[in-house]
Amino acid sequence: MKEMKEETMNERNAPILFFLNRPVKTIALALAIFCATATLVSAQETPSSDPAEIRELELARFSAQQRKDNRTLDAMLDNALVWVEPDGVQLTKADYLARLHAGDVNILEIAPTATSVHVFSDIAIVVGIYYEKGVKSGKPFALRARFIDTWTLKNGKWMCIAATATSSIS
Amino acid sequence: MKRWKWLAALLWLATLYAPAQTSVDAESKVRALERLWAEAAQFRDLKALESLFDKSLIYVHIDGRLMTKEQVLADTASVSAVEIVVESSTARAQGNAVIVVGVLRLKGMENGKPYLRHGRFVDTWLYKDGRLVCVASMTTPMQNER
Repeated sequence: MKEMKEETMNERNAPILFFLNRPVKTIALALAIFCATATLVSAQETPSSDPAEIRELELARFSAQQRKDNRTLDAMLDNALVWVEPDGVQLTKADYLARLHAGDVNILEIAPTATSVHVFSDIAIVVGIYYEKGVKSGKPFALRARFIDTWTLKNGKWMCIAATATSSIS
Repeated sequence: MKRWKWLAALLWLATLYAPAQTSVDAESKVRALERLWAEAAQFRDLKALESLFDKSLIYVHIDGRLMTKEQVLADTASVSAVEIVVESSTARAQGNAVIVVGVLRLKGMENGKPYLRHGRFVDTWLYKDGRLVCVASMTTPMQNER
């Protein structure tokens, strides 16, 4: 009975004993291989940091905004998004999507112009001016705004984490 | 002795994969840097400002001007005294970046006339060469909230 108990304990502790009985050299080698593999996998998952790709994402975001395509926007905008309207009103992602979907604004045209993209490894900053034309509460409107959008790589995908604009352009 | 060398190598490998900073650390550091920024701008401490901004800073002033780092420093040196009060702000770490959003109040004189402006700012901070620097900043005048 006592022998059986000892045997069970030894079986349970087998993985720990395996490592305790190995020289440190073996553990270090195993860890080095693990780290190298992790680095390779991570590098493979990283999409291109090509500014042209970020510009494409921006165009897709503006296009989705015009079409009120909340599904596309939901996939591009981070859940912790900071959104600032050109009049200084701050919105969460949920606020913004709800406002876009149910709001009284009908965007007829919205397009970015003169954008420049700055990529810092896993962060991309886009600065530009957009032109927007539409109908709000039955009245036509047009505005030009300067914007800065911040994108970050999350789980191998570029997500917009901040979008801020100002209608004050000089 | 040889065993110690291997142990040191193990520790070095472990540090490579440990996160450089926790998000809470980064957020509190950025909040402190934001306070330093407001003070440095108010007292026109260009040396302090120079250390806070990345060389490729993208800055949009509350009046809508798009400026480079050099332009911001030159502008700060040339304008008359401005009182800058950050009324509220929140910082959130997102991977290697920290996003700060807040409300500020600017009080000063322009063309001999006093002005008071409120703006919503969004700043993006980034770890570069082991330290946090601001890479983008925009302040939007608040039109309807006050």
